[in-house]
Amino acid sequence: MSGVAIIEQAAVADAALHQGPARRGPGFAVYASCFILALVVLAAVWPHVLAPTDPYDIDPTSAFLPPSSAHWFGTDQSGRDAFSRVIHGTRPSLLIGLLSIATALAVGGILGLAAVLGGRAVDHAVARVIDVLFAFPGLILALICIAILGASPVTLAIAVGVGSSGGYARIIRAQGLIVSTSGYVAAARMLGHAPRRILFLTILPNIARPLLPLFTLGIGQCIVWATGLSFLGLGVQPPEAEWGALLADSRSYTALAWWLTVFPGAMIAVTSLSLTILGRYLQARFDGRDAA
Amino acid sequence: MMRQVPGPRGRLLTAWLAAATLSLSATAAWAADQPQSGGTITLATFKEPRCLDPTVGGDVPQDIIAHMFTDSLISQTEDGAYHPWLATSWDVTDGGLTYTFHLRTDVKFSDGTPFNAAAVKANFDHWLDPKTGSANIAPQLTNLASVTAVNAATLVVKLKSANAFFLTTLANPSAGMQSPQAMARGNTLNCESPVGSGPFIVQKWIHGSEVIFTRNPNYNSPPPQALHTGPAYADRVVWKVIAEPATRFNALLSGEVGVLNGLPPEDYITAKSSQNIAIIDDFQPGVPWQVDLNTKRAPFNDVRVRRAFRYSLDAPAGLRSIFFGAYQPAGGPLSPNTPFYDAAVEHAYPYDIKAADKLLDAAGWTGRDAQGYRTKNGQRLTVHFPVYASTQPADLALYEQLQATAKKAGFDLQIEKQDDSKVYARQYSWDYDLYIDYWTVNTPGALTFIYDSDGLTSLDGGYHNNEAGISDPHLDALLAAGPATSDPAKQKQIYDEAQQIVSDDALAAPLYVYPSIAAFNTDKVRDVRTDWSVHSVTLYDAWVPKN
Repeated sequence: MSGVAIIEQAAVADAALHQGPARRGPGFAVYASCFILALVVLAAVWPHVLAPTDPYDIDPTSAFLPPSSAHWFGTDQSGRDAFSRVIHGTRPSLLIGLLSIATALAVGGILGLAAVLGGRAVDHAVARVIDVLFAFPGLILALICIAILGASPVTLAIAVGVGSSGGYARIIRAQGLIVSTSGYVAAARMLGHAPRRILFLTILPNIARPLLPLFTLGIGQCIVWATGLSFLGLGVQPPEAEWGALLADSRSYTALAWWLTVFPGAMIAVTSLSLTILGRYLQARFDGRDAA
Repeated sequence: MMRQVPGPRGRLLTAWLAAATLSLSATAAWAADQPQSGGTITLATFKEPRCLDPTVGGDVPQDIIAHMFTDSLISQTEDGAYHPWLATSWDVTDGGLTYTFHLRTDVKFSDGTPFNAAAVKANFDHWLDPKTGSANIAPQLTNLASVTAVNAATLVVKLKSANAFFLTTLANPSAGMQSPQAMARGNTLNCESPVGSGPFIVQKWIHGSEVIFTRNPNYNSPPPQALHTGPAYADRVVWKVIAEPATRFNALLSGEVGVLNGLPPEDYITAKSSQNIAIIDDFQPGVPWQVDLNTKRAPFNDVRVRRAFRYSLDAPAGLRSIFFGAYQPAGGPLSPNTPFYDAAVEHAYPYDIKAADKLLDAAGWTGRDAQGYRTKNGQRLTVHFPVYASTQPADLALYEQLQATAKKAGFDLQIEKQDDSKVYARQYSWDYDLYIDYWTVNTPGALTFIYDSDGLTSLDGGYHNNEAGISDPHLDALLAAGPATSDPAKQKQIYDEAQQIVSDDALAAPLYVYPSIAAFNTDKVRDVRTDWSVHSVTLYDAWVPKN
């Protein structure tokens, strides 16, 4: 690649940077999302701070009490405090979401990078694997994984992760191709940097940065999927509280006790909405800075 | 002839009275209505039969559907009395060893094959054929000596030993008479489209969705307790499977289905307060819904631990909160409306954590770990309870309550929700401490299925009936002596003792009397009644009102 080309590409990148959307500060929605997510993380790490009542303590005589000052979210069919169960359900739900997206990125990352760095033959092979992953709807793929691995929270996370890894593999491959043919990588080569240094200091950070918004968006999606599978009875074991399992356990009481489905449902919706808003915000920011 | 000991039906009566009062205005409106022919009745049930031939395998959903298209030799009413059906009369001679049945000669199966003594003999052969794998009828006929068709209208059955419950077995829907010509096609075909002489004909089975029946236009053999004679009123019956309880109930409310077999307990109150919903509220006889305790391995190989476990459960509290009182608690080895039910053991194990603690201390489970569970030699007092992933939510909620109270005594009750196939595999290999069980049959002989040492042997695929893994020669002798006696006083003595042993040994923890709660939408269907032999719904008299 000639020096002129490098300068041209640098100029294009520069122009893109300045033509990108005018950078605005985060709006109210982003702050609200951050606040909600902070509460969610608090609930996941120290649930006892938010909900001092034991989520497993049954009291059949006070079953199906509507929301009140004593029980903010009412009580369930066994008289357990629904607020406490929703709060204590945060940790497994969030962990399953995080583990799923980590699996998705790990599988997608290995495939995508192999395609970029492994040469033409590997690229073709990976493209076929990705095609296969795409041929199955993600949830079907997840169900197959659960059928093979058995139902538990860990296999649930792996299943959801593998089910959604195809898209990530494709994004990482595309991003890797853009970065590895970019001007600054060519410049780094011309400066005589060792290949390993180029990979770790130039290529990987530039691939990873746009992944942050994807990661944020992905957790939200994975929580929805994982709670969906958990709703089908493929997640945690009773009596553990987990949002999808809470929904599943209370679904037949909807007409009788609306609070048992509304609150865990709202938690799933609010959490994934907050993650989506934050992810979109981060995406807009990174797109503005990194468009090449 | 055996007389059924009347069970506590007070609650049933009040339910009926309440239903009657609530629907008084509706009753006035349709009292004038007369049954009319035509229309389609849609019924929704909770589980699909594995085969429509009622004896191949022989699971409960098969029993429930069998009298749609078959008639039995005899019928049984709520009071336990036997009545003629395809057999007009019968003589019992030789001290209960010989039964001579006099059969109707004017009945044809719906494929045109005549019903006669040879056809009945073909049915006996089918039930006893190992290929049929009958888990419900064949085990009740182990003492059969011979079946002889004397002439077209006379059948003689000889037994090796007296069997007081022989007629009950024949009244069962599983013993519905099938066309020999249809059975000769082999089990695979007969499972799809069995042929009987009943009021409806199996037209089509759409697997996973519904079974479609059409009216048998030539039907002339209803049992005497029916309200009319001749063909059924409805043109068609669609027997749908809707596993999800809330969906099933909403389908009834909206009128999408007319009859519900298995009213979800959480909808019991809503159904009772609905003007256009009538409830048939009943309980199944036999062995109640219970968990069997596996005595073949620790910790339940110690009777003290088994008794402690029973003391640590508070099923009645769960039944009140989760099932809204729709289900009745069970405490003994037999359901209260089973003949020779012994009320003495009903309350043998009240909820009593102190009693449980005392027994567990004596059994050496004296340590406590950080979570509060009992330990012995560093081992935690863990009880493994595999349950089907398809378990109904209300049942699962009940198990969670049992888990919570058992914890107070120091039990770590692990509810292990798994694929149905994995749960079956664990049953086959005795890999459980608790296993769900129930047996619906209108005789105390139900105990034989569950506690006789014959039940330790694996049936097809590895399934064993004796899930407690108990082998007690004295209990075996009692269970064999019961049916061989025709003296009710002696039978009572035998079964009282058998129930006492099962209860003292804490071989199972009964949870509730298996209910048979049906409901129907009176805008869509009238005169849905109960088939008393297994307390399921019957649609022969049912009719569709014209709006």
